[in-house]
Amino acid sequence: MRRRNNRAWLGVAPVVLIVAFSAVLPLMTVVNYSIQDIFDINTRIFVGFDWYRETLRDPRFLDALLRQFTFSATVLAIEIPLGILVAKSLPRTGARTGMFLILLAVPLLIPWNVVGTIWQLFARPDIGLFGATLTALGIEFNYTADVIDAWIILVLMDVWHWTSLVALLSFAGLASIQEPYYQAAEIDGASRWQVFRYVELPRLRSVLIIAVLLRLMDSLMIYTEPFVLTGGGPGNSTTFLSQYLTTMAVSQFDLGPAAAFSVLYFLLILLLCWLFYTSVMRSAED
Amino acid sequence: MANAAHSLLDSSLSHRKAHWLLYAYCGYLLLPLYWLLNISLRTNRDIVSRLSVFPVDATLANFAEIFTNPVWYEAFGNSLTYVALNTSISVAVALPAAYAFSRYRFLGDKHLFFWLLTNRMSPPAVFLLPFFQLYSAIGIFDTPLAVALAHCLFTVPLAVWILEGFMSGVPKSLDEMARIDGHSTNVDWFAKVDDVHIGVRDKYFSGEEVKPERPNHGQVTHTTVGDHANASQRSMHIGVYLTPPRTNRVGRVEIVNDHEGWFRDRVDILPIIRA
Repeated sequence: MRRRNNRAWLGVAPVVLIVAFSAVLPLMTVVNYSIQDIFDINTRIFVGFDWYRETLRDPRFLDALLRQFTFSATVLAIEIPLGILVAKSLPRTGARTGMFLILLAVPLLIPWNVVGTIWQLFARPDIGLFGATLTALGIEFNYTADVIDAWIILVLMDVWHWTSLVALLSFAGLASIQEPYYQAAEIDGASRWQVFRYVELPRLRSVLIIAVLLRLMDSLMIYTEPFVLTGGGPGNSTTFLSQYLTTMAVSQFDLGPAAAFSVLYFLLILLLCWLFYTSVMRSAED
Repeated sequence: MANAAHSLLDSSLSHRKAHWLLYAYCGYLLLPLYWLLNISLRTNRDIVSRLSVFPVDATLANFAEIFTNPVWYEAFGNSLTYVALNTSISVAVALPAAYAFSRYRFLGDKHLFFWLLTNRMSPPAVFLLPFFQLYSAIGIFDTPLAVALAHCLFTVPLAVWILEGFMSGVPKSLDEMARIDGHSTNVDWFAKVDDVHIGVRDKYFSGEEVKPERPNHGQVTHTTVGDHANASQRSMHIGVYLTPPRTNRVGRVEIVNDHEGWFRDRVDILPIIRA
């Protein structure tokens, strides 16, 4: 049990200060923009919730939202189980463990735009190993023209990029389970599945919550990799929320609508994560 | 039985399946990287003219370009500056916070943790415009410091989580054990240390009950003196049960010898958990 001690605030104060500077201030600015029509620095008109209404009726926003949910659900459904499986198949100790852990960490260390580049080079039907192999096998594959192909390669890329995170977190969780738990399970004659279900999974809970939350949030915010890999195409078929927002804010410079979009986007992610977090916490209390 | 337990500990998958999965996954991780390396060792003309699994006429010309063209290598310099700044800031602020979250409960801890989480949830695109204006206003726009500070928004909460997870993975009993062994480096940073003075007579070696000098501060329930305890030993461990308001506090006890004066020192009081 953790001790109650309010002096621990001294330890978290620096984090609070730095995050307040880089998060609270900018967020206030965005909210400010979202309720005004801005022509230039001196000409602003208060418009209330007009930008919010406009955004919620925008069919391109709604399409991007639907694509976003589909993408996030798909990658989570693959990455979480696969990550746990990989963590479980890692040897617990020995020289090979370190080697595998380093290998797993590699995709997490690669800059996101490089991940996009790697997969573009890998998947291109003309010069890419993956694309060319499929073509040689007689399977038509062209992610720049075919919507399904573009989605397949995006999901493969995201799984490649982020399963390691789930695996490393799960491995850390598994490593903290002490041997007496396994011995007790052994005495009770538990099967491998029962050991996983009743010994390991409950102990992995806290790291898995973090893993699911991180993957949920990051997949909802994905921008760089699809931007590099498919550029949101073919058509708008892989344009997710971030990319649409950036187009609005930077290319079209629609400050008000972009700010309203930002606030809605942020609240949406916040709401989803809060729902997940509280439901998990509640089920833990029961 | 120990062997059987080990087999469960190793993996709940059978070994063959586990190996198969692990190597297949590593292949999936490595193939795109290999292809990147392959392409980086070939000329543009070679890349588009044929598909070769191994670079036949391998050349380092592409790498030479990176290291001789200032457009490329200056970008690397900028990146390194930004990374150094960001890492120092993130670790410096996240380390004490992670320790606090891992070892203590304090006012608003859960809300604070969730608030940090919310910053990790904010889409970077949202911050594009405000950052531009904020950093222009304080005159650090277009500097590595601005990028480093902006990225703290994402790296600091992540650092806190990861460090918190690892710190919580270290059993708290290890802290106590370290303290028993006199590792003062592992001090309880935020704990209030009470000075409790208890006189202990030399009779405690014989296991007789010893009376505390100031009973309202605590009472000695038992003494534990290891094999190594002798006249030259500068410290020893004494179990002290502290009266309720002081339960779980860490304090110090002063040992005084009445007769010979062979021992006059202070030892740490450890909280004793009653079974």
